[in-house]
Amino acid sequence: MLLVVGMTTLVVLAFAVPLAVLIRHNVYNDALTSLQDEANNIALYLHGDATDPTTTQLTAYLATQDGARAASVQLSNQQVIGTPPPGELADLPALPQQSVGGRGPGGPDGDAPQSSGPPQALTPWMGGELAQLQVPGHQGNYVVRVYASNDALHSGETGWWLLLTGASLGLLLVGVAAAELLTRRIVRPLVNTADTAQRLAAGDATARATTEGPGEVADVGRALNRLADRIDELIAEERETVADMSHRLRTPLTAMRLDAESLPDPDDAERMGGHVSALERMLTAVIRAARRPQREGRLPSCDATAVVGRRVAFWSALAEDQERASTVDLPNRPLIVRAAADDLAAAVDALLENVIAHTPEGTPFAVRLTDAGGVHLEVSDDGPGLPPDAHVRGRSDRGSSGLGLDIARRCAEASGGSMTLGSAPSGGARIRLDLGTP
Amino acid sequence: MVQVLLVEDDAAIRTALTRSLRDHGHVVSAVASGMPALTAAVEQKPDVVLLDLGLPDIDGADVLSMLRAVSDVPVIIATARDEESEIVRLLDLGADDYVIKPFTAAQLTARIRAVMRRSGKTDEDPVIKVGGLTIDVRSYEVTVDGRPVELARKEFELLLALARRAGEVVSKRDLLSEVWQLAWGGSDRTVDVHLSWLRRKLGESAAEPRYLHSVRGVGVRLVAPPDAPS
Repeated sequence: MLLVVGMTTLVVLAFAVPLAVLIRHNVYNDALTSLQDEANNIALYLHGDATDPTTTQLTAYLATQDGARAASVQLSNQQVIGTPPPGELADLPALPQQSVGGRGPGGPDGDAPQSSGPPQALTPWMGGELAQLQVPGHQGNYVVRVYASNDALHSGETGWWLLLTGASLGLLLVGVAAAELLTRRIVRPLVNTADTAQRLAAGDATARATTEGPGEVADVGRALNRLADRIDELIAEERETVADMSHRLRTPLTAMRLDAESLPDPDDAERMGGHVSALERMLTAVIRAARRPQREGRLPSCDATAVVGRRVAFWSALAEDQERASTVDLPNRPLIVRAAADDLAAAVDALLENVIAHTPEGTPFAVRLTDAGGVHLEVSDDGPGLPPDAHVRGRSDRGSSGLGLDIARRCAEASGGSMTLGSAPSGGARIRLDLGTP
Repeated sequence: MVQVLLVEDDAAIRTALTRSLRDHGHVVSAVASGMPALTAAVEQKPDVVLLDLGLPDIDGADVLSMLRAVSDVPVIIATARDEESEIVRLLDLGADDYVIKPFTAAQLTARIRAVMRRSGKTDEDPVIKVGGLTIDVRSYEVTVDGRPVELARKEFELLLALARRAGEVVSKRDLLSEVWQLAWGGSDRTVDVHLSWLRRKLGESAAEPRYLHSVRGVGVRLVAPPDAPS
């Protein structure tokens, strides 16, 4: 925008400066011509009639002339009528040698004075210009003097200045408006397209560019959208391939499981069965991960209050059977978080199961869901606390003896939050999930 | 004794399954592709068909459709895909039940027993009684001392699995395998929490058990309470 204003100003200046010089020159010349014209007109008036005008008539006539100029007539008796030029009469420049009018010696009789006076009739005088003419009258010569100060000579420029300034400002405004219009039409869609590309690069697969604006920009937008769609398709295809391959692995796995079961030694059968189970768990995890976007959409969300409420209610039966006191603190309004309901439910299950599996029966526990600066889920118990290597064990695949914290951590991290392991005031375990909101 | 037609293209699974099912007392005939399966289903009139979906000649789902056109033999699908939509599609096509790979022989025999029961082709009594507890396996109705009990599907299956072995201690691993098809990824707590719900609905608690007794470290046992009508 600044660039456009600067460029427009430069262009306007490039035209306006020579134009200003030209105007100044022309206005000045016009003023000089007008000065001479006035002198000539007065000369004509003095000269035109058969008798010389009376002093009164002359005074009245001079009063009709332009007041910005000082017009005066010096009679043959040296009397000056009208407004004399500034300065002493005696100091005035000498009269031009050539007189205007036909009665002078050598001049053709009856010749009307020319409107454009001779150049030598103009003399710079006291910060202005003085036009002097000697006119022969019936009773001696008149001297016509018309004086204008430089200010008066330049006074005609003001209107032109205003016009020029107005036109320049107008052009500047038109330029800025045109630039704004161009910006809206070209730059804005382009900025939007660039923004979309950035969002795609940052991993927001749902970002799509606008296809409005000038043809070329819209083409870029459409091309970017096709690219994004293609990336989506490729990812979906890849994920589908991974899921399909993993599914196919289940067939040989079935043979393995059946063979493991029929091993004669029960210990061998148990051990082999365990290996097959571990393999199957991983395979299921791979398939679930590959199918995730298809299952829950690209931007999953759910009401944490409802999900946590349901899972706590589900586990309440077992908690009651084990005579555990439970404190459940849920807000009385929905809290939307960026996680699929299934995943959040699995995370809550993992945390509650953790409490039940790793604390003695009868140990109280608490579940708190708050939304002070983000949604936080806290599960704490009055048990022996987390083992020092809990987070390491939590990372491993979830086995019957594992802590299952990995499920909870994955859910929190996928939502854009995190999981924190800590201690409750009673010394028991306290696990906090910070859940991201959409 | 149930006559099973096994349709499975993978030789290793075919061999292993044939052996396992024979060990469980079934009569097994095995074929490796779709066309022989249709012929065998018509000629041998098996009691149940176990159909693998990935066959070399015809898609398993098409075999199921064709089979349904000529026979109403119970069909159990063996599939590697566990998406709900896929399972619903198969059930809509006329499958009676399904097992998800990798399954165990115990799961498979449990499924076979279940479809046989539902189709009425079993000599097993459709109503199981343990004390005042009555379970009708065809109508999924449960009553305790004549009072009807509303159970969720898993709760019903858990109760049924225990009732069929009443008096026996059933390990949680067996229950996970049979009820949840989760011999792998499952956890004992899954059984525990469903047991708790079952207790609640049957009107008892872990502290004062009547029918459901946990045997610490071993499993669960369903017995008739001493005060129940026999």
